[in-house]
Amino acid sequence: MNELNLFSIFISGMIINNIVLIWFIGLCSFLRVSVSLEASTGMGIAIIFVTTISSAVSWIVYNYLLKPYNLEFLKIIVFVLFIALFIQLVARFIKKNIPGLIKSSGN
Amino acid sequence: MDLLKKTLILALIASIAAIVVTVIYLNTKPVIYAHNEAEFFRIQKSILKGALKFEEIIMQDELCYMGYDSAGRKTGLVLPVSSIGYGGKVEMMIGIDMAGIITGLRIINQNETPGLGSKIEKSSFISQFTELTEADIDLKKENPAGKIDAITAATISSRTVINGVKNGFNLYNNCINYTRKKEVLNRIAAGTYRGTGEGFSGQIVVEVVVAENKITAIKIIRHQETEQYWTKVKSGIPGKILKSQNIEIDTVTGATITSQGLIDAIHNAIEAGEEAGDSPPPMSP
Amino acid sequence: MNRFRIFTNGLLKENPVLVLATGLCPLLAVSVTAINALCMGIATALVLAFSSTTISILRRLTPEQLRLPVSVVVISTFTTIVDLVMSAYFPVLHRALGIFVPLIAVNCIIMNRTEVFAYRNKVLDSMLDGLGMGLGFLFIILIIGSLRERSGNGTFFSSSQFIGYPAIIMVLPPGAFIALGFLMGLAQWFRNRQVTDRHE
Repeated sequence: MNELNLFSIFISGMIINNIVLIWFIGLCSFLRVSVSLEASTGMGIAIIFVTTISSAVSWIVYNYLLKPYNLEFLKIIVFVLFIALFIQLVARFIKKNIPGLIKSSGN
Repeated sequence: MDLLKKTLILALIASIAAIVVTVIYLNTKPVIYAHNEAEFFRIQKSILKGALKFEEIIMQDELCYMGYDSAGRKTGLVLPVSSIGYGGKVEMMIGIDMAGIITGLRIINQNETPGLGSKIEKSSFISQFTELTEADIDLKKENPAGKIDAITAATISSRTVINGVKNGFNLYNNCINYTRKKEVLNRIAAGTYRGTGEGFSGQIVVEVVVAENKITAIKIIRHQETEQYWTKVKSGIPGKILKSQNIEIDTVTGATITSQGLIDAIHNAIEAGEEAGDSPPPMSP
Repeated sequence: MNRFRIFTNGLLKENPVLVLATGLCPLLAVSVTAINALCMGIATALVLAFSSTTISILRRLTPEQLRLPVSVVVISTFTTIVDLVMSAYFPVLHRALGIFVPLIAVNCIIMNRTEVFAYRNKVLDSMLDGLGMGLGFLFIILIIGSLRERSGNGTFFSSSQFIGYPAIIMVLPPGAFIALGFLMGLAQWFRNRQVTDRHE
């Protein structure tokens, strides 16, 4: 039952709750980068990594650091800081291991 | 040292930012809170018409709201419930009057498919529930006694709401019982009351001490139960009753008859207290 | 660059949406009604102006390496402030804008402008640039919002102005792209005309 729930979150994230087509977020980089297939692939992979790690870490930080001390209002600052950090880490990681995949700096 | 300096600068800027945000937060928090309260009250009123004041009732791990009209009479309960839908938890609030008839239903939070399951929020679907009783709550196509039309192509979401409403009725019954028990305790005068119940091997006699409308102690006077069952029951039941102030509790698994005997004895004592509540002080210990 | 020029730069010549093609996310998602568009535009403009100013004030303190974290902290702080104030004093609007208020923190325009301009220029200049860009954004989102509300819903700022059947598509996502496309095309046409005019 639990696996079915996880799977449906996964699928719905891809299709029903598609961030570009339904939620309308991330359009800036989307429109810029979809000019070339290579850049698109690079950006796509980078975003997969950054989103996954950021979501996981943000959940931990929110539930174990912010909520217990009633600091939920700091979530924007804290989340975006972590995201910026992960973007840099993932960009560096990909540059080192799969050179050529990212030509422009990650954003 | 360069790294240290940079870290300090960043830390300083971050601290100032945090302080500024905290100050603003502390100032806006009461405003936001007041607004949310007003909003919640508005929703409650729209679900249970005629109610002007709401009293929060907190049970062990459940919550409901009793609505009172301008004359102080109970008009019904507003029950927050949830059920798992297609896209996660669907939260709703149901109003049920004292006769067990639904007065209103509101979907508070849902994550169903936009355009399909999300139609459960529409009044065309929700208004079906008003004026129905527990027996009517089912999809027409699944139960001939049911009176609810599902949303086309969104059966799962529709069924989720049905389940939620059924949960609502369960919560309703729990709340009603709980308040009744509380009221019973309110009518018992302080004192010690004795009661008997039939256990497995014989009678169980208890003494229940009531003070300030609360059960403060439960004493076992006599019992003839087998030791191994008795210890299970003794360690579970009296403690639970004292904590929840509710004499409607479940029996202990594996010692049902002994448990029921003890519970019956306690009920018996409370009944004695109820009767005594109308007349002068009870039997002395 | 003369101060006035800096300010008007953001409005027309380097309008963030039409020319620089940034800040599209909130634009497309929020511009369903004119009032939402107006509020979003004002919120973004405020955050942009304050952030640019603050970052310019701090620019001597922040070495190259710290630029990104400092931008993030400053912008998120102002976004949080706007978010809190909005949810306290304009709760209905706040709920209408939903998650897009926190998203101002990662708005492309703001991130871009602070990196390109605010870090390298004086405080007053940065403030004017921020304000100009912000107003440029507000300008465009208001136009698109009004367009979409008018043609897709028959209303303008929620007062009915019916002249026939509304084209529902305009209040749906494709409508956003259509409206934006037309505006951008118009802007491009203007620019091309200016270039050919100058050549003649």
